[in-house]
Amino acid sequence: MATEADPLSVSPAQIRQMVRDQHEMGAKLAQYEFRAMMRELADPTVFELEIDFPNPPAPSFRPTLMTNGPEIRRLPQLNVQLGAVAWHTNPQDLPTVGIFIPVAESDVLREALQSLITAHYTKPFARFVFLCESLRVVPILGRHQFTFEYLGTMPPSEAAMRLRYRFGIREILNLVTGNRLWSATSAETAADIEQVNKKAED
Amino acid sequence: MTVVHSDRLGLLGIQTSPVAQLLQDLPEEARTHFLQVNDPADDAARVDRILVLSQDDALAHLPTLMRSKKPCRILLRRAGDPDEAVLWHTGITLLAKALGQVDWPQMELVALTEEAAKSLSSHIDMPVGVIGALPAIPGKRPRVALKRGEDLLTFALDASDGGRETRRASLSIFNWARLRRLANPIAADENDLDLNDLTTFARGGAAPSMPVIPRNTPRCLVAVVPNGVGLGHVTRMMAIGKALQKSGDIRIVFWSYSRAAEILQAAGFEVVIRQNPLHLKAHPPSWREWETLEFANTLRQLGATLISYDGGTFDPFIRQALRQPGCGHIGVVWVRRGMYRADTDPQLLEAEQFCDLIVEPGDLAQAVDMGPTRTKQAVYRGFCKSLISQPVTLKPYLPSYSKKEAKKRLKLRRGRHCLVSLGGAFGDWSVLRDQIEQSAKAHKVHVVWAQSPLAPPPTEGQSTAQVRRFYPLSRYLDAFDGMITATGYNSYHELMLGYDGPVLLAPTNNVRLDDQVGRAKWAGDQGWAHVVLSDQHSENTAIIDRFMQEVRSGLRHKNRPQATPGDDEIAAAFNEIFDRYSD
Repeated sequence: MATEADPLSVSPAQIRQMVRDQHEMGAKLAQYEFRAMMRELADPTVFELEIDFPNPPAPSFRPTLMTNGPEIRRLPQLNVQLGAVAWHTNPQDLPTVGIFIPVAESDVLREALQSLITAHYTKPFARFVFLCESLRVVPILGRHQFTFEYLGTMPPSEAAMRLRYRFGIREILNLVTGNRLWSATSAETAADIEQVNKKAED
Repeated sequence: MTVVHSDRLGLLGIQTSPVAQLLQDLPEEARTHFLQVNDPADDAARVDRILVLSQDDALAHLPTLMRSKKPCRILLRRAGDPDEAVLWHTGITLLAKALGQVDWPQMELVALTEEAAKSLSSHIDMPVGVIGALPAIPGKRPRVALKRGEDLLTFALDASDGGRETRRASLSIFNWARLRRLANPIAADENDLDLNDLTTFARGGAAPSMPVIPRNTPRCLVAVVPNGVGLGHVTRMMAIGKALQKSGDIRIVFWSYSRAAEILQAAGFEVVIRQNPLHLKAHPPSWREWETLEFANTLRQLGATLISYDGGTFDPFIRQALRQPGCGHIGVVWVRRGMYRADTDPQLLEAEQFCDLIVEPGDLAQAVDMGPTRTKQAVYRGFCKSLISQPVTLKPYLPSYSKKEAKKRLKLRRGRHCLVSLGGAFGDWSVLRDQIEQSAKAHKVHVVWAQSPLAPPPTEGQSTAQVRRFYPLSRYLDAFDGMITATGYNSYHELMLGYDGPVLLAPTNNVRLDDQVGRAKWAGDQGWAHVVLSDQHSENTAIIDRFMQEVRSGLRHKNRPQATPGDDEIAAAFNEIFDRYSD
């Protein structure tokens, strides 16, 4: 291990080169991951897990107490991943957006995801929290290092406040229709800022 | 069905203090939803009443408490450490003076016991009531002596051989509502009045019986499964879940960090899917705060009386959640398979003190288990009991397809078929793959490559005609005339106990996993299976050839062990813990 006594053997030029390499390799890796995800999405069976149990599936469990506790306001915000399919020098600068994935035909979901992921790869504009009505999209999202939450039958607007504090999302869009399902209002923002300031003063 | 809480009690003070934890055992609080109050000015609106957990907390928030206009009880505590008696006296006198100058009809002063109430009342010359009385917990339990400032519990426990054994545990890992079901706490120092009050209150006995709580029916188990490598944890826990459901009406909800959530749901289990800090690249302490809060909320919502964990290391959020108020009627079962590698750090065993029960799913290769679960013992064992059960597999709970039906469903042609399921962890996979394909071709055996349902679809380089994704494997065993498989717990036991065709074991040498090489060699030594190892390619060719000859000839093995049903013993062990915490 190097110590302070050791002479520096790395020149500024080499450091600049390492930064360039990191940028280049990050972008190349994202390109590889992007192609892999697009290849998966081209497969009509991508969401089929071929599960074969003789019993009916369990109902969707809705943990209501997760969403309505004001105590979540005190919790720290968690990181939202950019996803392995995109590269950005500073992903923390990108806003976080909730993307609601409804239950829909496989082809509809594949097409919508292909469009979104292509745009995301080409020029990352946000970090996504995928809000899933069904569990079937979870494996592919997880494989490509996206953040997701399973909502089941819970309307996205009902989950929004918790997700705002957990991940800092400012709006929720429907993956298929593109409709905005929820957005943080300026009034809410002002109230929150006031509360944070008050806590800081206390 | 979930638990419906009738009113909301705000707790001002340390949330994980023993009194806050014991409140749920008061008959009048049996249906209460406990909420944290940090600042009465902000939080009072969302509670129906407030309990201030000490005179110090009351002094710190007196003006805002009064302005909240909520019914408010202030718990007065007697002096603990005799060295701090002056400080205690100053605090209680100051509070009494302040209260004497205000008109606050919604306020009531309470103490932990009758004796404490009388003493405090005479000290401050104000009426002091008693917070309530806990019902006694029936049954024999070890006596544990507590000393202020000391976290180590040392006590004697009845051993399974009829003798007594000394056990140790950390006091701070327990919720006191749970602790009083495991032990009879007493104060070691009679001069510590507060600790005497607390332990007297905790032992209970003044109320006639435990409150009848309209909890959800059936009993509820929350099964925590980590992400792990592959589907091992999920599959094993599903098998145990099926065994429990067979024995009675039990609701099982999985708290899953595995992406196999859809598999769990398809198997009939409710599921909450989570992402761990590695998935999120989140700051672990921040992530842990969320997990603690939401896990505790979910346990309360479900009225769960048991959690199980199938994995090696308990994340601290599980302990933290169980220490929250309202989460004290919950036992812990650690489902911990054996066959750890011999060099595994035995520190992992110390989580034992947190558990009521360790269930070790039996392993056919137990005789060669050199891991710490077999060779070492935890220093801190708490109140934990252990059960080594019969091997657990999913196969007995799922009807198998006939050979014809299974082949039809998997779209297999005529001829001999060999399934290869190596997972992703075998050493030099490509060499083995080539050896298998060449040998299969030479012996006119069709090779079918099994792919995890969680893996991506086959890539362009793979022959899709030879790749199948399906789960669970056990229903389709009869479709195949031979099996080549890695040696994880589930695959190994499903094949050794439920399949009579030729088996070739290819154990992984991944250091993160169990001792699969030891497990495979044991089967090889017993004549149950052939074994190939990743570091002996030259010998593997001949072994694979012998295996393929057996597949080609349609050989059936008659010498493998017979499965012994273990459902009853597992269910009985779980039910004992359910009973401990179900009122």
